[in-house]
Amino acid sequence: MMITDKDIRDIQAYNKGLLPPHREERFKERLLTEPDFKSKFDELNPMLNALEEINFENKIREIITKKVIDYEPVMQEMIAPQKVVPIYKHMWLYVAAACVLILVVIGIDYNKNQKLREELLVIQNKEKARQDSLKVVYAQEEKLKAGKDSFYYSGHGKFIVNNDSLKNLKAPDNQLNNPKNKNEIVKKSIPEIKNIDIKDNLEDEENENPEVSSLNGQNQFSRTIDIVFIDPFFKTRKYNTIEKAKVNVRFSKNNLGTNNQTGSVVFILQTNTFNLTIFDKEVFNLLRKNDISATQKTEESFLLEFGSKQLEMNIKTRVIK
Amino acid sequence: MTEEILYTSLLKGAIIGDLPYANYTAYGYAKQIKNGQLLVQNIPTIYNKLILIYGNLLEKEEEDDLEVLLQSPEKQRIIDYLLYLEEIYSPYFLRLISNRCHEVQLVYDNIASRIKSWHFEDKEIKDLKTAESNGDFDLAGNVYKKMEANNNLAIIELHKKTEHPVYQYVISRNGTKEDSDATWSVAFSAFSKRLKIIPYKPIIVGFYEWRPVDTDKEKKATIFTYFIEICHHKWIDEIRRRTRIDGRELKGLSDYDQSLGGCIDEINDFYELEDLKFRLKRAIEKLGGTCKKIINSKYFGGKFGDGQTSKETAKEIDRTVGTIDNKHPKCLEELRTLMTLQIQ
Repeated sequence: MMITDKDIRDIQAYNKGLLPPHREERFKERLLTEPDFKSKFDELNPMLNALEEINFENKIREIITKKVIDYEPVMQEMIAPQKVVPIYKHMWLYVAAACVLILVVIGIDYNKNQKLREELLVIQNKEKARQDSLKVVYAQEEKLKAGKDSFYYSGHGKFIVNNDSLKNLKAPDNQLNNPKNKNEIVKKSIPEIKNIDIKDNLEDEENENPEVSSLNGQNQFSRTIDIVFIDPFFKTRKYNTIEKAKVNVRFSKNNLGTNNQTGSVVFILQTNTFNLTIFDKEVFNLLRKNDISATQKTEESFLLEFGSKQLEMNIKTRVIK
Repeated sequence: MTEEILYTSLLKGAIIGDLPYANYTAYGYAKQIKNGQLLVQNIPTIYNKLILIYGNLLEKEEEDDLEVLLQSPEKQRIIDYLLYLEEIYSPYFLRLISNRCHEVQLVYDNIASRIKSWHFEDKEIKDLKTAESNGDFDLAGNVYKKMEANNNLAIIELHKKTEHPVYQYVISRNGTKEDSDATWSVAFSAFSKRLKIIPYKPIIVGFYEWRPVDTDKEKKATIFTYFIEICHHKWIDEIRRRTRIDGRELKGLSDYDQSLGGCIDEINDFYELEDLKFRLKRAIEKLGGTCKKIINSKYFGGKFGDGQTSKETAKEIDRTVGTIDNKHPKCLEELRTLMTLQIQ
């Protein structure tokens, strides 16, 4: 009996335990029912094993001589078997604890500096308010002289200035000493800014005469300068809009098929403006097998297209540039 | 890399070994054909690739049918068949990897039953169990690829630590650098077979006791020292063989292998295999022109020296695939005859 190339491949697969169950059964049956095949199997098997062995040695030699590593540095992810050893043997624990302590100290120091920076911002804003108020006074000099109230809108809100508020108003030294100032008389009559009312976004569109309304409700809208100036700053940063344009979606292959702590599949779309995290296995599988294009539909949603399917998704996390 | 990681990586590599992993190859081809990226006239060229990966799933008749199908103009039938291949392949792969994973777990359990202070918590084995229970083929494939990579890294690490002492030993006993590398790879082959039976226990930090379970003798050493000792013995073996070729008398086998952890039967089997390998190498040298090329290409060719497909072999030696497939069994027969003649 002449053995075929396929028979040899089957013998090799059988020896390695690679035959699927139904084929393995048939192979065993053939060994029992076909004596010729059985004798060929017995003859060739030791030789094929030896060939396999030499083959393995060659592979090892190739690895150690060429040291070809086409792999990612995965060793960090490996978890070694846990063993029970006395704690004093883990010197690295003490080193790690010291490192953590140093980081905490640096963190506290940084936090302190952060607070100082915020305080500085408040001071700067106060100064800005004073400058704005002075501008109002200079600009509305004629009105004030006639005993009328004056208003001024700045980037930080609406300022209301009247004669009462000017009684104790004082110009800062740098303003008084500035030779470019035109209204010397007014400047000298302003001792200090104390009672400037500042309102945050006070535009009342329904009121036909907002000036009067604001004047009457002056006290009820009074706020401290600190709040007025810090709030808009953060609001602006927080609600920075995403540019409305078609984005190119690309996979982060490292994240494909990995598990998160709850065991469901995590998949991260990285776009040019934000990362989109998906915790849905079915969606992941669809994305895995198709080319994808993504278009921003509204500010809060995205339309993903893969194959003939479409999926609208809400943006859960976004990273502002 | 610690000894624990080195040991577990090598153990998993030895037990799980080289499994065929397709990673959506048939699905990819089906998609390419559907989108018109793979032209109709080029479809038959994927046959060998498909047989290489999915061949174990198919009987000879099914392989022939596949070849005919790929040459037919019925695109939809080809696509359907490729998708069917993909569908039956994934559970097959999962079953293979699960079986091997259970073997690794058995070794862990065996070690844990004898060494109380050890608790094995292997993330990759755990992931594979999760993949098995959820039927998650992708996860299984990813873990498998990671294990394969780790195994290769562990081999390189072991080589880095033991290369110099082995080289010194071989050079001081009439060997060359090539002999040193060959000895190392032969020793590694023997070492990987013993990984299951040489669990260790910690003595002090950084040092471990590698203790064979089948003998009363204990071998207190690091895994590196243990491996270097195997290399020494392999080189002594090789010198003996060379002495025999020169016609001088071969001395009796020493008992060193017993001290390394093998029982007598295992040693006998081992020497039988070593002898077979030695005779096989000499028989290949004596083979005729085409057969020598076919055997060398099919079993020792390729990037890693671990063999090539019939198609690659055909291209390399300028013959048709059919010729290679027909001649391959005949060449093996010839090889066997040459080996038998050596004994006589």
